[in-house]
Amino acid sequence: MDIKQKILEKIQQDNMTPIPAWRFWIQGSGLWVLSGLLLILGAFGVASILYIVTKNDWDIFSEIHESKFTHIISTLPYLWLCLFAIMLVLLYIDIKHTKHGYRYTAFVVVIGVVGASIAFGIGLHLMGFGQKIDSIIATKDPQHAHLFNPRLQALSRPDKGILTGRVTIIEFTAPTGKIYVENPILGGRWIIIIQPTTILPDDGIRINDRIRALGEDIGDQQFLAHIILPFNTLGLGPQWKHRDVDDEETSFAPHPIPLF
Amino acid sequence: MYTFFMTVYTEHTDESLASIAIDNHDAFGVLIGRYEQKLYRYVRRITDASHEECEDILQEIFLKTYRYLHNFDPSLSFSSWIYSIAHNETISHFRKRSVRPHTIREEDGGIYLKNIEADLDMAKELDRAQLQIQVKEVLKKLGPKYKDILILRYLEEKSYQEISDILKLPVKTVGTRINRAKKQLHQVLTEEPLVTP
Repeated sequence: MDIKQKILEKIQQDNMTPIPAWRFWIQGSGLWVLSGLLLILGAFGVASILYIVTKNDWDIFSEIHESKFTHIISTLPYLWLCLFAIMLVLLYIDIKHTKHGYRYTAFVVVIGVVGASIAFGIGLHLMGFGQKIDSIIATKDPQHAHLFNPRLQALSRPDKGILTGRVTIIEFTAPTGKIYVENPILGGRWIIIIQPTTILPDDGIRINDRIRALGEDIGDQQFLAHIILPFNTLGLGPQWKHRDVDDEETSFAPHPIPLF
Repeated sequence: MYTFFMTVYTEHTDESLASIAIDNHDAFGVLIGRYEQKLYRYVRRITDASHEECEDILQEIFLKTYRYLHNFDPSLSFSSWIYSIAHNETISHFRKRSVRPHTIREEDGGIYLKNIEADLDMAKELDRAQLQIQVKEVLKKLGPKYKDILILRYLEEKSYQEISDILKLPVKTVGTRINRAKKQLHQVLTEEPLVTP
């Protein structure tokens, strides 16, 4: 019996039929849906990295680390970078397994996935998603937020004169007062003491704001503040120092703290 | 009856037969007829397996082709698609045995040589019998990733695009591998030291 006859008979005997088209369609579409999801996740990673890098305490880095280089190395968002790298590898594998993925060289696919993730990530960052993600992590999982945003760790060093936290209570009677902040890395509540000479943020301080304070640890989870800054500043330089020179008289006067 | 269908289907392209074969066994029979010999030769070339083993593999190839007819992408040629299935099934068949023979069949030596000669200008100046031995020696030393491409290029006489579609590699990679393999052949034929890839 020739092979053609054998094959046709086997098909008939076993009642074989071609695998339905919808299965291949689901398989093909599934790979593209997965690629899309991985691209979105990677882009959220990029948005978070951009947010963390652009708001990386460039105004006070000299108070935190010895040099700009040490500051950059110590506060790079390594976890986000790792997650982004994993997303890229998965996206690369996924695209290579799509129907026509084999046609593109590794170089083209890598440039494509990195370029698309970064472009999409920049868009998300500009829409404020990077900050939103950081804020969600800090609220939902404060114990591990510093793993995603290492600047939280760098800013939680009262022994070095730096403290950060989320404002829970404000007790202010001009020209002095107390601000209670929550800092999970430092084991909970800290009291920031405001003196008449403390420089306060221009926009004031509100409940639930995250703030940064430069000053000194005076024990019992109390911190004597010399300067209080908003958690995020766009400036790349130490603006509070300029203010100190330009308007010495008023800069040391306490600013009103709106209680919202 | 079968002869009647054979006559009707001779006008059809492989691609249109593939779509008819989804519901029609006779159309699939015509496709088997068109590729039976080609694929048998291809399987023997990449494995040098026995006649019986080649027939078993061939049966697996056609059954898989039938089961996957809905997955055929009409933007590719049917030939590339079925060769791709043949390549994967053969590799997978021998993976089970963890050994895949890699010798060049005696009857293929001449075709190989004739086609490779066209790509290597200096080959014409050398003694043909000696060249054939040297070519076979070099091919033995080449890894499967180079050998499979050379077989498709010089024995099956496939284009770079077809090889790309069969082996699921970018066309650029196909070109690079062919050039590397040719370079090695050139080195041996001009008595330069051989660098294993």
